[in-house]
Amino acid sequence: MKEIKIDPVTRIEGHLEITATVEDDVVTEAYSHGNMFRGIEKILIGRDPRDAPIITQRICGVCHAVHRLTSLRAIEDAAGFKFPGRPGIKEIPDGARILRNLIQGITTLYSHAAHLYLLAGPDYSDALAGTGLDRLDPFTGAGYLEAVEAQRILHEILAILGGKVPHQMTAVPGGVSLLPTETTIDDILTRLTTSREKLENYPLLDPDTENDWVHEKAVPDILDMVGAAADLGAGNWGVGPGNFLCAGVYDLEDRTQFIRSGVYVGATGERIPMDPLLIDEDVASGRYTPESGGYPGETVTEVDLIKDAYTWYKAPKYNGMVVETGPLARLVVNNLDPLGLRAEYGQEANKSSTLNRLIARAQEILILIPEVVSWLNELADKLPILGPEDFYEPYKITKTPTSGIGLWEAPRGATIHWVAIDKGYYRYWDPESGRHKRRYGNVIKQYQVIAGTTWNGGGRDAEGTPGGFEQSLVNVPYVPDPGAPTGSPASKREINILRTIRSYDPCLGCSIHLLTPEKKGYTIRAV
Amino acid sequence: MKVTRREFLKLAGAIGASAVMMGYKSEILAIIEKAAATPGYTIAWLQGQGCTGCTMSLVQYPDIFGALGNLTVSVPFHPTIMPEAGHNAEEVLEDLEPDFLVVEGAVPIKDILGVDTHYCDVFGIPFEDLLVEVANRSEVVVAAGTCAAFGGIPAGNPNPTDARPVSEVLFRKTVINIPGCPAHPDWMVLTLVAAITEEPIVLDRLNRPIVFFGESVHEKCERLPFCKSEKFAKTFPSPEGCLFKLGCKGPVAYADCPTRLWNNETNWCVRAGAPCIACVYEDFPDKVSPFYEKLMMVLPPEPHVERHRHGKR
Repeated sequence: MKEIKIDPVTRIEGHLEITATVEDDVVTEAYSHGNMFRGIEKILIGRDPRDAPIITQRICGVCHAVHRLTSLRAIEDAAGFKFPGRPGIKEIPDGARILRNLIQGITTLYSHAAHLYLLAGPDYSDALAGTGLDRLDPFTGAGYLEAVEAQRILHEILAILGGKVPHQMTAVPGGVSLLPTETTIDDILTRLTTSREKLENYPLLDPDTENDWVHEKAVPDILDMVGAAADLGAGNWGVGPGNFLCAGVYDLEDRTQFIRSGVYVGATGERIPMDPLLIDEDVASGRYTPESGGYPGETVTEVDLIKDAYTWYKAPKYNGMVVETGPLARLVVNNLDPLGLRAEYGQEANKSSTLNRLIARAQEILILIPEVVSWLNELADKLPILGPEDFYEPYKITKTPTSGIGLWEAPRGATIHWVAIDKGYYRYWDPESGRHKRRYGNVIKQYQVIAGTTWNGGGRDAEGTPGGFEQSLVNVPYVPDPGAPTGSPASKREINILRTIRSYDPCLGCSIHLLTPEKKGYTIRAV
Repeated sequence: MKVTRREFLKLAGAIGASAVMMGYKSEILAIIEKAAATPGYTIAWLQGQGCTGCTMSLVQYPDIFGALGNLTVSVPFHPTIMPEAGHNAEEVLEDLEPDFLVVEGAVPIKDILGVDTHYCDVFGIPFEDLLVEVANRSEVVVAAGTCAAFGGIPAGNPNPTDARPVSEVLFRKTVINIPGCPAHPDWMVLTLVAAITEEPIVLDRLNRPIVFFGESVHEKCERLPFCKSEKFAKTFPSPEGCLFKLGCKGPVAYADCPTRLWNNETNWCVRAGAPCIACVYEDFPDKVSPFYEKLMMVLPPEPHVERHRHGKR
């Protein structure tokens, strides 16, 4: 028996430490430690509700559009806007809806591409693991460098839609600030279809002929990577809780969603509707007071620095179940297995494994590309009849107190924001007197975020049930790759632990948060 | 898109009328020519209380790996891209005497009355301790992004983790501040170029390179004529009109966004109809929020006196 510690886990977003117990070259027990904390939700208390999207957006610089869009939905829900599964009297205008879909879709495409090539890909490359896949070699491989270029082109498109990226600026409460023209559409199409030198004279995307970089280069690379992972046995390990949750994403014209919300229960194989009221957070292993747990729309959270706890994660539960979120969850909940890849390579389409998470991410790229192009066409078709009022509906909170829930999906999992708004005094800077003054208006009374990785990365709950990462690391082989070059990361024993964690595409910045409504100060019980 | 020498010089030359920065051209040429002979430079990149947005911003620089290669710069330690993990990553950093230390994210307090906070731990030690230790063997320290430069979002009221800028922790060293949420890739790369070419970097009172942060967004804004003729946009979306009444904080934001543009000269916030939120401002977010309320008054531009030059590396 041996205790091991991996700190930091690199090639993910943020600060994650993994400790584990190993017996007979197999992991028997694992702990996930989230090691960075900012208290973003606490910073939001007492601010103008319209500031929440801008501040929560800065939770994460990788899925930089997602928290903004989710937060917008929460404060718009509170102001009476109508969303799938939520009541309301007003609607986000059509043009704004399409633009937000495009922003979300392209963010997801870029994030998946960056994950498969830059973060997870090197683990299966020739340089690191002796697999012969030299296109995946970090810094030098042709595929790696092409992917850097591809994500850059996708970011240029996001900049056309969002002003600048990371942290796009155009999604505003009530709609968008951008009034697209035909030039906007042309600029986007030019970037998608014109070849760039680095992409070896392929256009990035050409859905009509499929004679493009994604289909000619990226898909073969990803299939190679999946093959290498399957050869290593990644279909057998990395088995998570087996329950999947999806919060739903991409609003369509008929008021449904392209990826619908729901929960897949592993024990029975049932797909049930998702009710946000059944979500609870457990804080047994987090550095928070016991009162901090419970339904995120109501809880009072405080830091407890002397508690015998090991992480900054809370452990969210759906109806008492540990659930997995991410691309695999979205596809399983929606009963999708494009090209039958998971059934064929991953043993079973609904199985949670390191391999299936990689496959699902690639599958989502494939189903998303035609959708993004269709939204672009939808926008181009409607452009002549869309006026400024189709991009912005004035945002006004008519009654207080009010509360809202924003349901959305980050590339790496279900993202949900809760907000409570009431009348009160907010601070503003008065340059004349040189100090902050207070003004009466709508203020945030409570804010709570559950991000994609929070679901997966949580620690043990009060009954000792391990979280998603912790469950999926059990039974992972603690052996080096047989063919790995001497001294390379894959010649180290912890390589498969890292592959499993990276298959979740964790984002630690997103997943650790805190809220302390009204109360101030730290809980220090003994000194 | 491979950056050729010509394009690289164009990028470097486009940074403004500053005589100092114009001097880059010949220097870069010299650097690239002797590139093969130089021993090469190393960067260690540390992440504190940040969001990895500045890293994502840096990789939006055209052919960033090619550009770094041209400058013979390697990045052995960067948590988001390095091949190694855990103990092996720690060894990489231990062996490193970096020419440049780039820090992303703010630095939280490490203990309160003797109780460890664990707000940000790396290698099992507080980030603050690691930062001081690595900075002591680094030549040049760069704080990338508003969090590292001024505290930014984590330091927003009530500053729950007592987050501080890098310069407050490394008070004995000159820290070059490159604010922005995120920092523009050109600002980071060109500062690097200046340091490599041993060109003195002129810093202002807040240790920002004056060429990038010398004039306000308002002064260079493409919608300034609307402002002068008092044509104000009243609602979103407004392709025309000054955004001041919709909450634009351009008058207090000192940066060259309007002329430099973002994402390979594609766009910038105001062109997309979004009011500037002054993400480069030293008191972002507290003194520039509520973001969608108009600024109380237009401050007279602060004189950007040269404070000192960041010397040779």
